[in-house]
Amino acid sequence: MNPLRRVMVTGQGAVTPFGMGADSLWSGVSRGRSAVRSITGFETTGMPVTFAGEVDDFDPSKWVGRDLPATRDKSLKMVFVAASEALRQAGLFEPDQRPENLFINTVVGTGLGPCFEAEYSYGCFFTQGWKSVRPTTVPRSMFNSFASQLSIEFGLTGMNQTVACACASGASAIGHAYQLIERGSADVVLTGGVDSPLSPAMFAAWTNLRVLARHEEPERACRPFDRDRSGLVLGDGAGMLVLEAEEHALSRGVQPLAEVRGFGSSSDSSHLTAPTVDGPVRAIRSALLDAGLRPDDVDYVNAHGTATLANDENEAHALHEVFGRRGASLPISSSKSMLGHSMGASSALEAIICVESIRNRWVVPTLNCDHPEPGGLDQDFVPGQGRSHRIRHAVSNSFGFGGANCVLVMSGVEG
Amino acid sequence: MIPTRNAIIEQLHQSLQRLRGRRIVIEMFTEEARLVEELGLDSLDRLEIRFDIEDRWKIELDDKEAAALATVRDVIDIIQSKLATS
Repeated sequence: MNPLRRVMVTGQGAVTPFGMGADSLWSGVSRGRSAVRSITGFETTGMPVTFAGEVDDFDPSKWVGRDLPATRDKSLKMVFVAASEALRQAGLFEPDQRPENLFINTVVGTGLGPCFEAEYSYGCFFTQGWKSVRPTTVPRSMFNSFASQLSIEFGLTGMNQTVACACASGASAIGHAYQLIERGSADVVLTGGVDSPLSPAMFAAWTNLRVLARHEEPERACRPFDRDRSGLVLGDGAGMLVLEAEEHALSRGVQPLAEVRGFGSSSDSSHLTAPTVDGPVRAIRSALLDAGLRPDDVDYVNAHGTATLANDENEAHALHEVFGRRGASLPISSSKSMLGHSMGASSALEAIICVESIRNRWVVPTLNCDHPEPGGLDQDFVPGQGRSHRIRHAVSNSFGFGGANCVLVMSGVEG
Repeated sequence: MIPTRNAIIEQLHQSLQRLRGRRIVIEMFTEEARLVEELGLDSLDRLEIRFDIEDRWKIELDDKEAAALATVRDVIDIIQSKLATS
């Protein structure tokens, strides 16, 4: 067997409620800003929750710099822009040039798929009957339409895959892409995650699941690891990365941003929505083993940190079991406190946040964590404000409904 | 009532604008304009446009009729003739 190859991040792109681009994402989260506000994209009057981390509708062609297929699906719009940014940074895309046939593989994570398309068509069916369902509903609403549209628009001719495991979809896609490169099955993979749970019926479904935070002030609603947390806040997002074998990047003269050092995954094998402690523990340990690191080597954890009662309590205990009493030597923060939870996109955005945390020697805060809980575990949730901190190795946790736990280890280029 | 040739062109123009998600100059829609070669309709676009035509004018095109449409004029003619005989 050939020796395993180092896998580097050579491009990244993001669309978040902070705006277009990975820079605006980093600018928002590093300063501890909240992107949560009242929803304007659809009518929420009378609903118990009326806020989210919403990305306003936009024209992706304007941002990508070339005409793109028209779509009503916000997720597709977001992933076009995030992918073009990541490819451009990696030196693999110029808007004014026709796409070459690039042997680049595509692995996209999504928990909800193109739900705006599906919802629109079901709406037509139930209000006007079968004849009103648009004839292109099938190709537009299939889960792999994101990955397929990216391959078509950017000339990506390698394998084309879609991964769905709810809120861990992005990390799962990145982990899969990392393994493909590490083991020599691919040189370059465009990967990441995208989701918008802010289509009206999907938002209603989340509301009725009764896991959404309720609060008078939207920006204070998402309170990960806080005593008064009351649930998660939904958000829109797309985060895409170009992963590349180290020698491939160097041979192209591209400077890596960071390394994907390890990946671990496990199933709770327990319940569709109730998390366990054991599942995350096994995923974190497996990621560290894969990375060849000990718990003490880890300098930062970007937590799943949804701010539901169950997740945060379980995750804190899982982290305590793996890392013990590290106190301030192991900052743990939840960027969802600022962005909301964009399902399959969250974990990809969090991988980007880890890359930037390593590069900028700065940990992002957990907003609204005024009374850290659970107590007694001596954990540092970086409440309120980010701070300077040298990070060689970061762990990024993502746990999805269904019991899918995915953990990435991201490291500095120097290793 | 049979729609005018201009009304049909206007409907086609609106359909294509919606499909493309951007403004398209109506001057492209001459009667001679070819649906595939000049207006750029692919197979999925043709399904969508056919859907809009049937929905707007309350007619039905069978598969052979739809496949035979090559120009804007063909579209106008078949809509007018279907409505004239209904």
